[in-house]
Amino acid sequence: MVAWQFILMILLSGFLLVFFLYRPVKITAHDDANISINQLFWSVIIVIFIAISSLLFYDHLRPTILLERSEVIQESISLSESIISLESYLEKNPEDYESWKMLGLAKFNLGEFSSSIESFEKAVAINPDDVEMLLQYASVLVAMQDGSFAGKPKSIIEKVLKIDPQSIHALYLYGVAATSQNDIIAAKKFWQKALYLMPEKDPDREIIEQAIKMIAE
Amino acid sequence: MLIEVGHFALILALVFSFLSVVLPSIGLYQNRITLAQLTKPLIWGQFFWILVAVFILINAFLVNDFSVRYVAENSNTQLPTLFKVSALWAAHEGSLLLWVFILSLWSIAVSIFSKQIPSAFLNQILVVFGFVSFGFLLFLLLTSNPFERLPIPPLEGRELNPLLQDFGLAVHPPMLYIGYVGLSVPFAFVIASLIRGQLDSAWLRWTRPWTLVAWAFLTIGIILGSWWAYYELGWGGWWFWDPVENASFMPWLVATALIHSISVSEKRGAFMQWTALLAIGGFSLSLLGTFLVRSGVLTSVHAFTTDPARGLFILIFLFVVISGSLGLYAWRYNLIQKSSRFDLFSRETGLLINNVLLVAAMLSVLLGTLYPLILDTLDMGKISVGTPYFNAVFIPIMIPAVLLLAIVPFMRWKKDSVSRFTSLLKVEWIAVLVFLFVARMTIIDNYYVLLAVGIFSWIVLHASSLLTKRLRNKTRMSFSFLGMLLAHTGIGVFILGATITSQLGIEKDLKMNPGDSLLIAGYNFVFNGVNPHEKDNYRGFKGDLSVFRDNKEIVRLFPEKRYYQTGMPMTEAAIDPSLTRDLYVALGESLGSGAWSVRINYKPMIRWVWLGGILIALGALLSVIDRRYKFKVDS
Repeated sequence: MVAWQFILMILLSGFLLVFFLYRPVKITAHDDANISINQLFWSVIIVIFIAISSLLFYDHLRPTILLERSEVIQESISLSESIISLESYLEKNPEDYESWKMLGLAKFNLGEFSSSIESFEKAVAINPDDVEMLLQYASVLVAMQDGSFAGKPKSIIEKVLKIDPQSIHALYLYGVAATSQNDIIAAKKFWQKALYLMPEKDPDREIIEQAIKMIAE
Repeated sequence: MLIEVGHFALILALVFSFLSVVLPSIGLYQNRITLAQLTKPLIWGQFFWILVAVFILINAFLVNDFSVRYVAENSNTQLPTLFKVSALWAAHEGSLLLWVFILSLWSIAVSIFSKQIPSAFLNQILVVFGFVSFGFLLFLLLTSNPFERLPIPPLEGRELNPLLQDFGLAVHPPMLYIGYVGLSVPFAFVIASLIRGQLDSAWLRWTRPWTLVAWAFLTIGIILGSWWAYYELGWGGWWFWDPVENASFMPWLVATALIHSISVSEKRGAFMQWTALLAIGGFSLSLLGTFLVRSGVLTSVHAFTTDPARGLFILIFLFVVISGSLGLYAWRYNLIQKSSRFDLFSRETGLLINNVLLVAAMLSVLLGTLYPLILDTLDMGKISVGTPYFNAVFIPIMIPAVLLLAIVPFMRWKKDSVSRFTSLLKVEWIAVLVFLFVARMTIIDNYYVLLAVGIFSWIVLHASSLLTKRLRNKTRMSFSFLGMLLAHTGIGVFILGATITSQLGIEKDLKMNPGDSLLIAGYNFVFNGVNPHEKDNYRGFKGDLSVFRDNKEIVRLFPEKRYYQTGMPMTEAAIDPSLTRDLYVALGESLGSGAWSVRINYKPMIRWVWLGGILIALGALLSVIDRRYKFKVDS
């Protein structure tokens, strides 16, 4: 699904050019005789060209937004294929929770945040207590809000912590949300709790330790 | 979502640039003026979308959006706001975005300030801009997308290269790029003229102010880079003949030849073919510079083959632009207005010799820059071409060029006589000889310095004589004339400063304990010790030295050794500047027991190097406001 922002940008671009196509032509002494054009024909051609070429090019480049370069070709094909088959499957089986969750993740990986959120909302409606899915849903909302945890993402993380107060991922994310609101004390408290709960050899320990060190400075 | 909007804005800019080539070309070819006149809205639309992309990326830096790979790799939360903005052009992707942004700024400027030239011709020029923009936007989007997201955003970003956390380098790239990209204006003009089969002197006059502005910014960019290297790298040098420096210096040399060649073309209708070639050459060298700096070949020729997408794209684009331009030039050669005749001894000949010398100097730099790369590519061994080569080849070519630049303005157009010329200038020549003799007898015995003093007095005396003659004859003095005098004087000032500082400068590397002192050129440097020091984005040590002259403390210097978050050590030299000399101190390593290695430099007249550059740039900008460039072209 195309984001409304893109449609607005295409319309703005098209409007600019159509406006100039319909503006009276200034012919100076240096110009040769003017052959008039069919403005409507050219307007339609230009607007369609802008819309199709920009969206196709964006679609062509999109997988590189989220995936490593080396994975681009392989992953973009498999993801697209998975999405098509999942969507057709969900048309027949709209109550399959796992498939909605998978579709939300796949769309997120392709940068289709709006439709990813729609899929997660369907998943939440079926099973509102899956901690892992709720955290993924919150991450998509954060990406949609340009990195901000304010509002719904934070309340989802709070809900996860009520369901599972020992979710390390949720504790970590809550700490990140707290730092974005300059609540250093809360961030430190949640990260220290996450560290306490983590196995000694967990590779993610270092990330949280560095985060605590950073806010301490 | 904002990041995706920025990415999509770049794609729309690409679509606009494509349309700005196709639609106006159909209009121009089929006399459909409505389509031809779409160039301006298309160029404006392209500029708008690039501006949106630039603002969104700057915003991503300001709000620490580390989900964007480029932001995460070049910024962190501790970075001061100024450097968060300048981090935009800290690495490849952002630099390319700045490149296309400045290109769109130039095309907008051309579309606004060229109302006097026929619209069909202006549209053709903007089509050429559209083509260049299309190439670079495609390059940006296919190989260097600055809006790429990371699968897992880090909590904290990496660090902006500590070398770049400096005001000098924050402003150096935009200045340099304005100059680099500005050379696209004469290029676009010449290509448009060749396409239309009309290249004559009236049109050429239009390009001179644009070329002068580009040249002035290129000069400022090079000076800023040199100044930055001087105080930031801790070596006390101001030019290293580094390939990256050479990449900006080569277009400067050709642009210098170009502004003089255009001057002859617009006044005398001569050198038209030569001017067209220089315009193509200047922009091609800008592209070559971009290829050298951005492809990775300078780090290692093998870097190019391990990640070939970027280098290969620019190489192909370079090939298309150069071969296409030269092919067009060859095809349209007969339509270029032929030169009017001039005598062997004339101002035209003088300017032509100077032009040839400048191009020869550029070729010597090109050879010194590319030769090691070619050898390395062919697996014929690694060699380093450094200062000795450039001093041995470049300087002998430039000496006759700078001698000529002072006397050519006295020559008459078309035809002059040696006897008139020598009798006109004999007083100045005798004065230079007397000045040199007195200097040799009383002050200096270094022959390189004597040569520099001779060249400086040669240029300044001739410039003063030219000014005096105009004042005496009550001839109107145009801004262009005053600009020329200023720029030529700047060359003299630069040569004097560069030679004196390299010949008479003193450098001492020593171990100093608190209380130790060193006497250099009458200045007594006393080392007081080192203290820990820290700021938001770094920690380190701050040295403390008192400098005495005649037993009186004249200044205290605080050189720093900084360690940024990546652990990269940085030397922040402490400098006491003045027009006659710089006292330059850099802190080295701790040697234990309170002792530190310290580098102390006495740099006589080093400020003249940059003062000369500033005078050159000011001269160019003064020439731009000359009223003869506010012209209206007759049909």
